[in-house]
Amino acid sequence: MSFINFKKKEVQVKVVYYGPGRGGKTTNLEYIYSNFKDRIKTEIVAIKTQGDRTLFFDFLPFDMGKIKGYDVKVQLYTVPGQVKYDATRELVLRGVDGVVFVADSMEARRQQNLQSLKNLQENLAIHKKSIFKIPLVLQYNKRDLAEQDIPLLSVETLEKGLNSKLKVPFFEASAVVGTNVVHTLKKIISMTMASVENQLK
Amino acid sequence: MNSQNDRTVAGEVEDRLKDLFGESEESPAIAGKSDSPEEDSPIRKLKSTILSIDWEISDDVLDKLIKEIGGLENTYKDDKNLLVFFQLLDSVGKYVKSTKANAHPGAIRLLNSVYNSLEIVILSKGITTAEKRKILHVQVEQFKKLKEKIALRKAEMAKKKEVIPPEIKPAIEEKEEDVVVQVEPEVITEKLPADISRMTPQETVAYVLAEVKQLIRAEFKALRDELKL
Repeated sequence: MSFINFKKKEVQVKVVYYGPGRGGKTTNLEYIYSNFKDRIKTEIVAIKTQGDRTLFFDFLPFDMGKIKGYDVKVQLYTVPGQVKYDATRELVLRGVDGVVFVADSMEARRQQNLQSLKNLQENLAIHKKSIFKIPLVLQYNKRDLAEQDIPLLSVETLEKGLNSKLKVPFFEASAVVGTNVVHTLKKIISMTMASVENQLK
Repeated sequence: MNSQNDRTVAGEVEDRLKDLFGESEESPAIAGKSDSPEEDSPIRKLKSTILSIDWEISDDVLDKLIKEIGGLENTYKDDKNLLVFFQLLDSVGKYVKSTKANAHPGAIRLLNSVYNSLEIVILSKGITTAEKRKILHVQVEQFKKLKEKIALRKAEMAKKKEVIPPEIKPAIEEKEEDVVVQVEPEVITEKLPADISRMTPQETVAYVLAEVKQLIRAEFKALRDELKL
C-alpha cells in the first residue's frame, strides 16, 4: 500500500514497470526522463551491468504537486527482466501500488511474455496482492519493429494470451520512439491514485 | 485526502498529469513500412535475427544467425572487408551459442556493434574502401579486446578452481570454463585440457567425452561437406 504521511500531508505511490528482459521497461523510463526532465525536475537512477542490462532496478521519482492539499510523490521503478534476478523483482514489488506490464511484441518473445506475467502474479502473491486487483496496465511495446519487417504478434494475439482474463487497459507502444509511453504512464497513475483513494474509504 | 471528493481528486490528478506531461501526447503514428535503405538489402533478415538475440539465447535463433551469415558470405564473396565482418559475427555467434547464458556480456554487445558497422558499410552510399577498412578495424580491435576479456575471465575462474578443496569440488564443471580464445584464426573455439595424467577421474571422463563429441562433430562435418559435393 502507498505510503501516506498524514502529518506531513504527503502521499507516495510506487509504480513498477514489469516484463520480460529486453522488453523496453528501462526505455520507457528513459523516454519519460529525457522528454520531461525540465518539468519533473528529477534524476533517473539506474544500475547497469557491463552489457547495459538492468542489474537491480531503475528508479525515477517525481513530484506531482498538491492534490487535495497533499503532496503526491510518484516513484517509478523497473525490474531486471532476466529470469535469474527473480529475488530482485520480488523485492522491488514490495509496497507496489500499480504495475505497468511491458510486453515484447516480437513473435519470438511470446513465451517470455507469458512466463513473465505468470512470474508477476506469483511475486505479487508473495506480497499478498492479486494481479486481478492491483492497478495494472499492459503495454504492447516495440510495435515500430513492424517497419523493419520483424515478425510481430498481432494485438489480438497479445490480448488473447495476456489480457483475456485480466481485462485491463492496454496500449500499443514504441518506447524507443515514444509512442504511447506517456499515455501508459498517465493511465497507471490515474488508476493507482483511484485505488489509493478507495483504500482510504 | 478526503474520500468524499472522489471526482474532484480524479480531476485534480488529471490536471496535474496534464501539467506535467502535456494536454495530449503527440503519439507519433506507428507507421507501416518505411523507406529505410536496409529494407531491400540482403542484410535485412540478419538485422531481424540479431535483434531477436537477447540473454535468453536459444539454439534456434543462433542457428538462424549462423545460417544467415553463411548466406551473406556467399552473396558478398568478392568483398574481402565484408567477409571479415561476417567472420566476426560468425565467431561471436558461435561463441554465444556454445556458452549461452554464461557468455561474456560484451559478446552480445559486440554482436550488435559489428552489425551496426556492417550496416553502415553496406548501406552508406559513396563510402570509400579506406573508410570501410577504418570501420572494420575498430570492430576487429573490439573483437580482440573481447577475446582478451574472455581469456582473463577463464584464467580467473581457473585460479578459483585451484583453491577449491577436492572434497567440495563440483562434480559437473561449467562448460564455460573450457572455453578459451584462439589468437589465430579469428574464431573463438573450445579447447580441451591436454595433460590427462594430472586429471582427476571425473576430469578424465569429461575430457574423453568431449573428445568423442568433437570426433563425432568432425565426422558429421566431413560427411556434410561430402554430401554438398
